[in-house]
Amino acid sequence: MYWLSTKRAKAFMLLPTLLIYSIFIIIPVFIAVYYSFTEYTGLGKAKFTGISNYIRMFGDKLFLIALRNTLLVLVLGTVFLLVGSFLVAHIMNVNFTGNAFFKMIIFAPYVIAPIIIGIIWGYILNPNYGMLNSFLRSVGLDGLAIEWIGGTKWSPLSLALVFTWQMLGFHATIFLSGIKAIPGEMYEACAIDGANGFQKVLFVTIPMLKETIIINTVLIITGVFKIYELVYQMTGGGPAHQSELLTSYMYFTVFTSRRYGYGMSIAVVILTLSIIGSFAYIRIVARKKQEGGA
Amino acid sequence: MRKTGLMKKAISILSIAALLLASGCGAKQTEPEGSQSQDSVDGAVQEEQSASENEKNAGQEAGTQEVTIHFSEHVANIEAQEPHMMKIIQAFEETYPNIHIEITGKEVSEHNTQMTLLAGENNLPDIFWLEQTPAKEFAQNGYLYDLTDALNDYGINNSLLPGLVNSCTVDGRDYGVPSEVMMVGFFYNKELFEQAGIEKAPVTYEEFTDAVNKLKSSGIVPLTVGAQDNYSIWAFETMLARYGFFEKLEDLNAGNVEWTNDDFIHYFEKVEEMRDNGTFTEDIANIGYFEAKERFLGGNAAMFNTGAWDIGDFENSDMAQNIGFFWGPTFSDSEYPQQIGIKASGGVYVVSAKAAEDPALLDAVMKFWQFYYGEEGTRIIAEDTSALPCSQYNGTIDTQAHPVLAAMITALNDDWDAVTEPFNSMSTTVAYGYFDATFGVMTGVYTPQEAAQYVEDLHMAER
Repeated sequence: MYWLSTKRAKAFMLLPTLLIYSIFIIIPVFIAVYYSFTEYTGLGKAKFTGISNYIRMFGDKLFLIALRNTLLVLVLGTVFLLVGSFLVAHIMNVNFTGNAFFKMIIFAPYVIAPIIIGIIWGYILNPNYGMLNSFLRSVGLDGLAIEWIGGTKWSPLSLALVFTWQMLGFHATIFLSGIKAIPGEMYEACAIDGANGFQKVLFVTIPMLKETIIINTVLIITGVFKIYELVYQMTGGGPAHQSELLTSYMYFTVFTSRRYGYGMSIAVVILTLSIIGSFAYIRIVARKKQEGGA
Repeated sequence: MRKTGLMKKAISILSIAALLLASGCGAKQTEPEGSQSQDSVDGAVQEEQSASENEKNAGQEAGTQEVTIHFSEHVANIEAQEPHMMKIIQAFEETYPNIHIEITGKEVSEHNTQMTLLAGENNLPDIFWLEQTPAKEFAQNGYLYDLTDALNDYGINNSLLPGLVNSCTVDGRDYGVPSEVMMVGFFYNKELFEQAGIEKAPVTYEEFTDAVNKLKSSGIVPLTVGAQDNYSIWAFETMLARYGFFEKLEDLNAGNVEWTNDDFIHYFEKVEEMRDNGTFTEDIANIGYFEAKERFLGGNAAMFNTGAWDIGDFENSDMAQNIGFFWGPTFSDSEYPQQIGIKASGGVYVVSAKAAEDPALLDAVMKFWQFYYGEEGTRIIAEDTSALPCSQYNGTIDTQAHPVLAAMITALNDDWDAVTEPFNSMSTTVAYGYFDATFGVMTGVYTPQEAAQYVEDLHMAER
């Protein structure tokens, strides 16, 4: 037992994990960073071009559209998912007949392959023959029967809604585990003090779920930067790349347009934004916590 | 041979050979070096056939060493989309029992991606399909086997239609054999045309517009196109060629002419006019090529732009007898040749350099191509699967059983000049930029000027 707890033994046991992590995560990141400074078609030798790919990005309208769309989906997705999954977690926490079925229904989209979700929602949101617009028109809400996908305006909103639908069960489950970890005595104490249900949520549940909210937020941020299949299947990035998100535009640039160097620079930007977004949020929350503690 | 207008039973596919001999010479970009006369070709075919017989016997007698060829195709469902390939492989394996072919297929964009990734890993399949431009890039980077000598040694060049010899050359060396006769344009539903009061397929842009108006008046969707597969604008490439693409190509590459030139702007303006006139499917942005095809085959649209590879699907449909073909509109505001059609080699099959390191494997691969382009392979393509063969064939087809194929052969034999697909003369980046630009105009995202500028920016970055 003593041997197992030595630093050398710990390092030795960590080695396989570190090795695999390095080969599949760390080294590819460095390779991508290297290629982001080159002009490369994927074949032959890459030509070093310095920061020209990064400069090009600022003049690339399609990149800026993809960035705008990604930020829109990020903001909308974060709001929809945090609020939605928090509420759903509370419903899950209530004992009622059919609770298990409810949990299953909510969680089911998370286990469906995103490409299938894209197909399903592509049919639902199709402006011409989709189920949603047919329903809206049938109840006289023609004004709401908009071009959910395929146009230049509403695709980010549609993507955010579908992403929310897909991830709701997962994030609600995380919230549920957090809610269940809150001691019942705290609510009892609140009740004795005369707090109503809303006040219990506001002054007990939310403060006690700070860590869970951080985890969920970071997962949403990183999740949004990984959305690809939904775009691919629902809109194909179109029309004319107007509904691309950063990941799908990066994929197009690399594999269809065969601009590997430029595509890698977009990949590096995605990685950087994802890291910055996550760390910034954690830092802000940590600072607030410190201030609150002081 | 004299042909009458309505032959009931059969027409000779030999005419394909004559046509493609002409089309090869007419093609502005892929004119073969050293085209042969028909007489010499026929003689060579006989020699090749006897060589083929010898190979066949050799294969059966000396077939001791087991060889497996790994083959990657550019369609997801090979049996449905390229039935001739499966039948040829089956016949080949029966002839050469010691050679096995393991074929896999992916949708074209996935296939292209995979080949590029596998090239990086030096793990390419033995034989695979590529578009011409990437094939040249692969060859320049040493990933492909130089087929020049082998194509002569195995008599394959003698079997190919003269217009399809030298389909993919780099520095005068051959790196690919043609996968298909690239022949694209508009297919139309004769019944719907009749219903709308259109008597004949349009030729000029004015006639095309008139036809669109009549179809709309009859409540028929004129043209089904799917923007989600941005490559599916083949017939529009012919229109770009009619605005002088090939004449300007050298200057475009040199930077002396920009994509924003008046002619290309006119091309995009015509696309814009078509859009404004309600030519395209209303939900063009929400469907892809396959959905668009389904709509055409379901009688929900009067026209569909595609190529010879869809003949099989068309002939397997209920409306096979009602499908006609035309090259697409000609334009009076262009000074460039208008009576042109894309009649050339499309993608190519290539052999990986790694496969060629194994003499037994290389021999097996070349025997397969010899068989594929030989008498038996060509017969299977022409008779069994209704596709246009890339090699010469002296058989007959039943025009009642293969009406679309017959229509294509008629078009192939017309006196319009052959050009190659503009796509094959651009880099992948510029080519897909051009596709995006055209679809951008079709969907109302770009004005003609913006579309032209978009392609110009991509092209400029490469100059």
